[in-house]
Amino acid sequence: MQKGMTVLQAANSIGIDIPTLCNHEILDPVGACRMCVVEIQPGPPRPTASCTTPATDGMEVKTNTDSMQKTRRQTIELLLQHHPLDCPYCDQSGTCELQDETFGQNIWQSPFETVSKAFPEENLNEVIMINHNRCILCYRCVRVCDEQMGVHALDVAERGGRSFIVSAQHKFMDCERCGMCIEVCPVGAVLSRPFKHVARAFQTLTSETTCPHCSVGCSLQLESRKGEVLRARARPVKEPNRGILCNKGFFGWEHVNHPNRIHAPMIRRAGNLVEVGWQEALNHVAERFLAIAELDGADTIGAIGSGNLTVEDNYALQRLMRGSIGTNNLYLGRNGYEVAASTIETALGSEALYNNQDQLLNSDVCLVIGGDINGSHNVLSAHLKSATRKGLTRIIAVTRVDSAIDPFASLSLRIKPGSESTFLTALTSDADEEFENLTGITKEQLSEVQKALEDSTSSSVVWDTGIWTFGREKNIAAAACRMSKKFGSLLFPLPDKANIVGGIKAGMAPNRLPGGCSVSNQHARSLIESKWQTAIPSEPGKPMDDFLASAKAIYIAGEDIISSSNNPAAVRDCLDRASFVVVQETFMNATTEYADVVLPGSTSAEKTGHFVNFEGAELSVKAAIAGIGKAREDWEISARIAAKLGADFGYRKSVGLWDEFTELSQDHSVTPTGAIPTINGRMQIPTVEFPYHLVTETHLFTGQPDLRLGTTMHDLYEAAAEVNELDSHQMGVQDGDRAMIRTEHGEFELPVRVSSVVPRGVVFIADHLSEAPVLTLNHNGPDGMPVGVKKVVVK
Amino acid sequence: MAAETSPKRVVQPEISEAEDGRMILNIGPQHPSTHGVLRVLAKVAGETIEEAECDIGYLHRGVEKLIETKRYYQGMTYTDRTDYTAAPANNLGYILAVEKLLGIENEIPDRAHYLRMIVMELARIYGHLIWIGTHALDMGAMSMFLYAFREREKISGLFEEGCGARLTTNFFRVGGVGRHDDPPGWLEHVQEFAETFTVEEFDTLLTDNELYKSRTKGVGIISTEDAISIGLTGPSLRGSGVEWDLRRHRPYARYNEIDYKIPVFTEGDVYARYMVRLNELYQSRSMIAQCVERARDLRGEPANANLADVVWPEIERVSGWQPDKRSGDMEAMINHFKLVIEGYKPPAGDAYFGVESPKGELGFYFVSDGSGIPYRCHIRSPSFVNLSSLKQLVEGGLMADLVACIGSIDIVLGEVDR
Repeated sequence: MQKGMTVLQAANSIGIDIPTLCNHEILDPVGACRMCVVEIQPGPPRPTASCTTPATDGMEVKTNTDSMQKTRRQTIELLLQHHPLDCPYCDQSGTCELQDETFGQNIWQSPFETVSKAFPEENLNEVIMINHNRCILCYRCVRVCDEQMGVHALDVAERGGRSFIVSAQHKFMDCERCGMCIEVCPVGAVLSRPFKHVARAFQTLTSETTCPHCSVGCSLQLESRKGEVLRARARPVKEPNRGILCNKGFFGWEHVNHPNRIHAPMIRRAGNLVEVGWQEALNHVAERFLAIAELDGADTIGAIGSGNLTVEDNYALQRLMRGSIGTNNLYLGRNGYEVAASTIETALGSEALYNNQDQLLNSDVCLVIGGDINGSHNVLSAHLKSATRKGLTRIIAVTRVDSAIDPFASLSLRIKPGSESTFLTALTSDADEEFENLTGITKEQLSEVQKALEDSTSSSVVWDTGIWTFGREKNIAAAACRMSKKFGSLLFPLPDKANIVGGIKAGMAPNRLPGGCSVSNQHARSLIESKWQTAIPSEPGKPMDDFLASAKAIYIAGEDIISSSNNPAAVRDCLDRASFVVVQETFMNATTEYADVVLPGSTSAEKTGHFVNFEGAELSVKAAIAGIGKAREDWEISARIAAKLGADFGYRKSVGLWDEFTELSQDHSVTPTGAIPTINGRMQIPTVEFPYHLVTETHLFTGQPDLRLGTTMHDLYEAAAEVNELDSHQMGVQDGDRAMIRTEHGEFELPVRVSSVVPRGVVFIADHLSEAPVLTLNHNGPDGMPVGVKKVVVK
Repeated sequence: MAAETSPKRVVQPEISEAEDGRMILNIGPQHPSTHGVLRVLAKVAGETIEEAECDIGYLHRGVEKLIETKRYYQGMTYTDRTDYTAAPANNLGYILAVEKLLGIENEIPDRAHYLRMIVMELARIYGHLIWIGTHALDMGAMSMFLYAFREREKISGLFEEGCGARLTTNFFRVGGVGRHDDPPGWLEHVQEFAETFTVEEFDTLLTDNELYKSRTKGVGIISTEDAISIGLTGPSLRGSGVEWDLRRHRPYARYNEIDYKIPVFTEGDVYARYMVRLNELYQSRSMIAQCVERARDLRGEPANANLADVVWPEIERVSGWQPDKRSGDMEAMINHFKLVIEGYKPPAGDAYFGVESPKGELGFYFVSDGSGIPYRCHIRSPSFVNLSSLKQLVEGGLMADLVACIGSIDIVLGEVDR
């Protein structure tokens, strides 16, 4: 037995089962239900809750004596005395722990006169509802919300037998909508509204997979029925999410069976996309690629993969391009991570890039800089919150808007957008006079942070490399590298898509082979050439913008390169000029408008493969359902085109590609040069015309646009320009007014929302919303831009 | 993808020529005297059958595999459709095997046992009657068929009264007889039947019928040794002089507590097998009378085991689930829900149980992996094994005797193919 184990844990560790109801493996014991009672000698002559009693030496525990069984039976009988007879239509039936315990204890007749409660069902918010009649008051929902998520949106009202679960804030529970209260509820008391009366647990098929919403890579279980994904569950408990999910992972699955999914391959004929069969589409693609390669040369052809696709998908695509067509023009779409990662790799070496989540949670000081990771990487943020609570780490939050991690931070500072690298640099060198003006942080606060970092034995820097870093990726990474050199900080750049890391590793880069070796590395190339039985070009591909400008044929998989571009007009021009564009997508989007061929790819729920998360951990993705309509796994499409071009990969399942990828992945540890790029460019100062700073980052309820489709996710957040109340007076706008959001580069119209989390001088617009194309506001990264807000008067 | 080539359908001519020049006569699968979709390929020389091959599989539905996809209580409905001439006998075999798998054989109340035996023996008469009617019809004794079906109709009525169905009875439940516990007046009606059922009528019509005797005596002989080595069971085995009856030699239910004889005839021909079945009708009639008496004595006692984890709670305790009106019992509701949705879960292991069905030893073999669905189900069906003796019975005999032989081993193709 390990020291510090409870009696219950000790018993479970040697295979003795003690029935429980309120106990949950991810929660601290509370001893509410008294199901786990045991007799302990020496000790008081009464039943003792084994979940809260620490095991000690020489303790004699009897778990299953007659009197204990009687106590347990009576506990259940008392719970059932006022339990409604809802089994036939309760959503939890079949997975209900109260049912399991009753059936397991062989209780089949009530000794009591039954008493019914008659609370009405109550909608707590858009997605969560509660049925008090079924509640057994185990407090799991209250505990998970508080302990694990750090939200504490639920609480208990009244005392004793009259107590019931309530929203801790108002009647309407404005929480993070993570659904964990639904997940841990042992009975059907806390319910998912989208899932209500949809299916029963025993009618569904489950498959264990990895969440595609962000780079934490939470493992979860998808439940599906007849080819329809119905819901996700946060089980089994394992790394990296340890049994919790955020709202995106829990509710964000409606995109899979969305009616707008692309169902069949399409070829553009006379300006219109016409549905065709797979053979025709693939033959067409192969023929056109061959013709263009012959006419204009292979280096006018290229492919853009995506961090939303699996490692296998990206690997197959780059093998098609490198092996069968002979080009190194391979890209991963726009993301802030790639530059940050290569900066860190050059400065500090590859080892500095991937650090374990445990190292983060156990470092003395954790500096969260810039974007609010509670929105972008909610589960990681939740882990940080609970680690703080356990005293494992101290958070210093330096963010631009108020964040949910502030209450857990030992120091939380508001920084002016655009000055993050200035702040980080000031930590390692002396601050200049302009520091306070630029960052909005006082020198005392700076030295407080400095002192905390100096005093710590270990420290970490975490930043989301999402849209807010665009144009400043290098600056922030460089400043972080300096911190790492001075304080020994571990760096945690968080990619904004699930598989950016895996995409790079798979070789979806103009200068990197699968595994990360440089394209010019003769040895690595020959190894791959002998495996593929074909020659691959030794010259690195062009930079993405150069390629697009001169491209004749482009293969785009899983990435809307127009919407994710900082210069959509230029990209549109390029796609217009290219003579052949293949788009492999799950939904029609801006890019498919320029497609000559559209191929139906699949979502992560329909494919089997791997994601690589921010830790560099390989996480398996497993198909829950077969492809919708004629949709196929993305790797399979690339492989079939390659077969048409005469290079059959010979794999019928993606595992073959994975094996090939791992076999070819050479150890490529980059020797650090130690060169840290200097920081260039300063933040832009607001002017009279544009008096505010634009903050654009991933909000808790926004994310990858395609993955967010579906009513549940969509209804949670409405696109708006969020402003401080005082600022709104200055702007002359009121909540709900439509306003023109302008920078010197562009403008669009958006409703205004007065928000309590936005500090003065800042206009917050969440990214990834089609109504708010923030990227059009600046060609080189919109975040931190001076912005003007002007009320639109409807005539 | 290339379209898979489907096997070409071969149309079998009724008469064809074998490689060695002998004539092949194709009997069935639609021939009325093959008692179902059995096809016999007979190589004949004149009137004599020199070789005979059975071709089966025309009625294969994959019953065993279907049972492996259902909860234990659901699987029983498939057994109604194996030997459909005596469905309750299959039900009982299934139930007893599951009970053995669950390890609850000793929990079943006496009353349930006697009710089961009544139905079982009714099923035996039910099965033998259809046999005696059709077999005799094959032999030219038309009126037998009419008398047999007159009596059979009465038993159909009794089944309907007992469980609601005439043919596919699904009569019992694991742990007892479920809700089919002796509806008012049913035992009396059964007794009335036992009193009025006139086996003597059949006896006088056929036993000494010269025509029948000449068609069956000395025809289709199978020796004791061959019968044993083939694995014959039931009346077909007892017609060859082996006293082997599972009711007596592997007793189940309460068969060792009532009086009955096991008719055995030694000749091994069609007539002997007829005599066995005829005498079994006498025996079953008396057994029913005895069981009715016992069951009456036990009236008021439970007909289902007191096992909350197997037997569904009474529906009165479960119902009444309107949110505002709680007349039901939450505990019963939960038990009912779990038993219906997940079913009882026998411990991992296997069990075989054979019962003496009208056709012979009907055995069910289950392998449990501890879940609510059988991991493997195998049905040892007497018809299948008994059919394998047909070759021996008919080879060397006359063409006309083939019909007598097929009839005499009493096969049901639903059970042969499963």
